[in-house]
Amino acid sequence: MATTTASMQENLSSARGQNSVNIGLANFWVALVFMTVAVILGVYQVAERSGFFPALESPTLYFASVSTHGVLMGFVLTTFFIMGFGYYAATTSLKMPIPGKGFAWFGFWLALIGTLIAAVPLLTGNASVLYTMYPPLAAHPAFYIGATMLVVGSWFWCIEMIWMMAKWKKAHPGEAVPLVHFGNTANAIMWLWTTIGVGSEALFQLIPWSLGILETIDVGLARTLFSWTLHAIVYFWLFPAYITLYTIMPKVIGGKLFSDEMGRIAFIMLLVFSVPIGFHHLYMDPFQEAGWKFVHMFGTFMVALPTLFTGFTVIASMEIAGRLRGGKGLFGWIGALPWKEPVMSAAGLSMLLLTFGGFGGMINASYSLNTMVHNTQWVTGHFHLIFGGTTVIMYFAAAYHMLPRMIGRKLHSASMAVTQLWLWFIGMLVLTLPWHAIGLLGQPRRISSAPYDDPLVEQWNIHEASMIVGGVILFISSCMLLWNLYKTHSASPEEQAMEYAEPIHPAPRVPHLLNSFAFWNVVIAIYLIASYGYPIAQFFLNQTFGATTWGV
Amino acid sequence: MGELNPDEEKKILESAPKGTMTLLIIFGIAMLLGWMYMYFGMFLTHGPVN
Repeated sequence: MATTTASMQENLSSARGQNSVNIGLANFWVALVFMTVAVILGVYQVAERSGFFPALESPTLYFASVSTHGVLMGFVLTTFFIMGFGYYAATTSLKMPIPGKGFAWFGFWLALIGTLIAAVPLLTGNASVLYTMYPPLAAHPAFYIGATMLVVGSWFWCIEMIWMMAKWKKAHPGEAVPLVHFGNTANAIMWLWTTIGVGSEALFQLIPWSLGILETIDVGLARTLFSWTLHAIVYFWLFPAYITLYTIMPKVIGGKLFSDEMGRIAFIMLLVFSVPIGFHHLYMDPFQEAGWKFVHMFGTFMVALPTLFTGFTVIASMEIAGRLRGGKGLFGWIGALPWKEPVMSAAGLSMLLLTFGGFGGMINASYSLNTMVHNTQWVTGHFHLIFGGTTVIMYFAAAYHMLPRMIGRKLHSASMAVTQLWLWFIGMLVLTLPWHAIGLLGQPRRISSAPYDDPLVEQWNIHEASMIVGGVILFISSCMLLWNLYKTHSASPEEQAMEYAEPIHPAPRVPHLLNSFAFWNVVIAIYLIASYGYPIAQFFLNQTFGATTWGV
Repeated sequence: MGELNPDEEKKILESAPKGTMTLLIIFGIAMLLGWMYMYFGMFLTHGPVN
């Protein structure tokens, strides 16, 4: 009896996610603090490159700032947020504690220490490699070692997610894994596959090269390995956003999820299609043949399918909620939605930004059209819309929803949250739409200044001014976010359970292929061998121009 | 939401999301037109690099 009571208490505690509160909060706050630093650097960058403030001009400082901004946003904010989100969502959806909690904390500290180690060369201008791992740009070894520790730290999270799914399935034979954890586990598995590329590059090429153990480096192989990671990382970032849209948003707005199975199919497709498509980042590189690039282009368009499924399912869930709230007509349900709810506003704005960003992505992915925008500011605009817009705005929504529940307090101000989200949306558009235009006008990306007396460059001025305004709006918005969440820690107590959306047709059991990843791992392995096998092997088989394996 | 009776709620839950499908068709057509403008209007007319 005593055992049963203890077990019930543990289940109740897990339902509130108490077991994951500390590690969830630690991850969230690390992510948010580093994000704010990155936003400040972003404001400096748009001011510096505009040429309007001569006192600020310094290529050395600019490229150190760009590299730090990119690493903090693309690797630090994302990794820590995804880990915090995953832990809290896992304990509250599976209603079980995190197994091996010390293991999870070890991963957190490894990632944090790695971040701090990488920060030293970044902030001292010794890792101004534009947050990429593209040799011959070379950084201090501490940057590569720190970044590797961050990635290895995230693997502990991946193992925890897989471990929890296996443990839950053992305790619930035949039952459907809750969609929220199915998505998080898909992301964890994808991240493990994804990081093989950059991990191999760092371990066998960059770290030995930066330490002077290797004298030369095979740039083509390095870029190919980095491309393995480079696109799938975007889906690693996007997964929590999609999970929030599928499993939290419909509940918050008083509706139901249109289809649980559609979510599973979308997550599996993201898992399978996102890794073997990285050559669309190498369209202009001479190291790979056009045929391989075409194969990857085909895969790139395939990965649009899960996004289309997500768009349909999420908007259909919104429509259901809107109609349940009294909305009539073809579009009357849109006005009936609770737009004063931060999660609802974020979802609507995120989907709009996804539309803009998705259009840019189609242009980038088209082999011929890519030549028009390659290495221009258009590309910067595109990934800021997808990452800084679609993805991060949903991170904000998840933080507004989860953090008050973690600490048992009311959100300090829901209206401030909605204002902050709208400001972020406006700021992101003001920042990135001019970048698309300026890219088509020929401005290269990754420049710290330009000859502003040139007639061509004069056309850029209006866009340069606009992006400063966008950067400042984003800075104000991020300050509001931090303030609101900080004040929530001292807000009035309010116990709210962390609940997830029910589908219209609950399915206690789903087909095995939609409830397990074993088969899909085999599919990924085959697909990866088909799309990356020879392109990588050729560097070992064809020792062109006297180059030898791994650049030795 | 509270004013709906169970039959009305069931009808909404089981109805096809016509508004969603219309929105997606509009966005799909806009994307296609945008891509065609970029390809035929900007890329093909661009000419050689000077």
